[in-house]
Amino acid sequence: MTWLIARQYRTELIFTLPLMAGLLALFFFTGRSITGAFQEQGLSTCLGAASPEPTCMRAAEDVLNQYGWLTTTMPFINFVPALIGVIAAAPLVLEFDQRTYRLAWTQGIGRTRWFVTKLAASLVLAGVSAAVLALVITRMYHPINLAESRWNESFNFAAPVFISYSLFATALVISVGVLAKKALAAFVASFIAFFVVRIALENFARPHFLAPKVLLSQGFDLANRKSWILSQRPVDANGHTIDRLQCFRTDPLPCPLPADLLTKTVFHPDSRFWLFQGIESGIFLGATVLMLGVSTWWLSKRVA
Amino acid sequence: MIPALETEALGKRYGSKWALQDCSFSLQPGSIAALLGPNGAGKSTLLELAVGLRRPSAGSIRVFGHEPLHDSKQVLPLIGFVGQERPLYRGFSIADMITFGRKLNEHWDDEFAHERIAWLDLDPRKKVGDLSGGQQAQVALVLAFAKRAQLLLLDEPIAAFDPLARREFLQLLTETVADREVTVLLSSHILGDLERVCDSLILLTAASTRLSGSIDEVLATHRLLVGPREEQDLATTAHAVISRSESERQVSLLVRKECPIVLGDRWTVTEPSLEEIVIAYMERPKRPRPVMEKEAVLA
Repeated sequence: MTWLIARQYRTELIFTLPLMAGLLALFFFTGRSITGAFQEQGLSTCLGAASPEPTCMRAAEDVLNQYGWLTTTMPFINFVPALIGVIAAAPLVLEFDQRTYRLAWTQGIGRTRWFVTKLAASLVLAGVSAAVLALVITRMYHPINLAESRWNESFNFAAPVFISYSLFATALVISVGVLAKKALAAFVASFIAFFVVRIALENFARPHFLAPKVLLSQGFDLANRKSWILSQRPVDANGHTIDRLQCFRTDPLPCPLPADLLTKTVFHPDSRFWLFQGIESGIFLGATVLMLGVSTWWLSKRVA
Repeated sequence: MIPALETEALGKRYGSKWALQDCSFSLQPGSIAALLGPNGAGKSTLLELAVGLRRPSAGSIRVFGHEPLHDSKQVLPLIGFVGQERPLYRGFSIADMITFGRKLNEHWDDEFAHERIAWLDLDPRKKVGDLSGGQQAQVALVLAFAKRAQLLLLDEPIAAFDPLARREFLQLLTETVADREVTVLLSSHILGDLERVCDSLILLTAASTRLSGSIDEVLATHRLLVGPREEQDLATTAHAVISRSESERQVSLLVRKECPIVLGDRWTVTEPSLEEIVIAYMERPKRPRPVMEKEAVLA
């Protein structure tokens, strides 16, 4: 079985390993040069303080501005778990597409061992490549997170969720492939389904994993900079939102700002980062187990 | 002796349609059996049930006493199976396919596999996807034979072969059976070829077994009776009529002999060929065939 698995991944890996190595090198060296620049100016120490000096913050910002391409490029890394899923699941799905499973199932080894071994191989490949990528990306974000919030950019690339997304994508491709027995349809349908689930969870479920905290403050609170800020708007002393636009529309002249202008921040504190990682990866891993259970049952019931 | 393959009231239903129904026979070890029947009679379904690719809807099937699906660990090493579609890994070379067989089977005859590929003048480095249909069929058969199976289940194995390859393959089949204690069940439409190598037959029509047994026995129990129409009751009451064709005065009946045939001088009794018998069983009750309209043919 090991031979068959290695033989079937061979062609795929010839093409995808250089791509993976390129991504890893990019993130590794970017991380190293940011860390180097921070150390040169002693920024790591001053950013570590509870409320860092504004000069320190500005210097860190200057360094990070040189890496502006990260902000525009990193969202594309959200595609990687789906790609990992397709690549890891392809050899198994192709067996059903080209009907070679009927050859494999009549060999001495038996279909259960065949399926379990192939399934394990896809999951291990997906899990390991996602883990390596996530760790290198997290290392790169380490100095950046000292200066800015780690939620907006680095949450999606932290190891727990990144691995769970990749395993979920793999299970999705396998399940659709087993049910439809068509490889291309399975790849396309899973790719779409993956992003529907992924975007829905990030935007509609993740903010509500726990009730967000609300803070009324005067001006902008620097101590809050590492939190995941859901919304931030000006309010009056009673906590009511000040709608400047509405005021201007009715009569632009008497629109004075109230004297006691406050900022209302709705946020999740930084301390919830790993808890949220746990909840979200738990959801994806649960769905993974469920889908694999259903496809295994389907295979054993709907025999050939 | 435990039969190599035994079915009892075996049935398989896809949705509401029965692909195989009430199929009962037993195949003795060492026999070469032909699985015959018109298209859609359930031949492929029967072979797939035997190797455990499908689950029976009714009745039972046993391979050397084991249930194929339930005891797949015991049954799978005993069976060499070549399905009708002969799926192979198209991206693999022939050598890769042989390695596949070696890695996934315990009692693998690697030497035979390589020698036969060389004998067939096939380049082991060639990709399976680049081979012709006949060559792919040869590779699929090499895989089934090299498994050192005790029961070979072959679905239309020679359909893709030219007459020469067909003859060579049937020779290999008889040699294999003679050398090792192997039982073979092969389906085919080409009756003439099968008659030369097979010693028994299983005939399926309309999804159920109509006839099974050794070919000698089948030949010995069937007769073609030709006689006057008005005396046909004499024959039909004593024997089971398989097929009948009538002309103005005469009737010709293919019957299964239930007792010694005693008929008058006006009857001729001959031994039908195997093909005549098989076709008689396969024939459905006659209905008018649709005829193309003349204009359509001319246009």
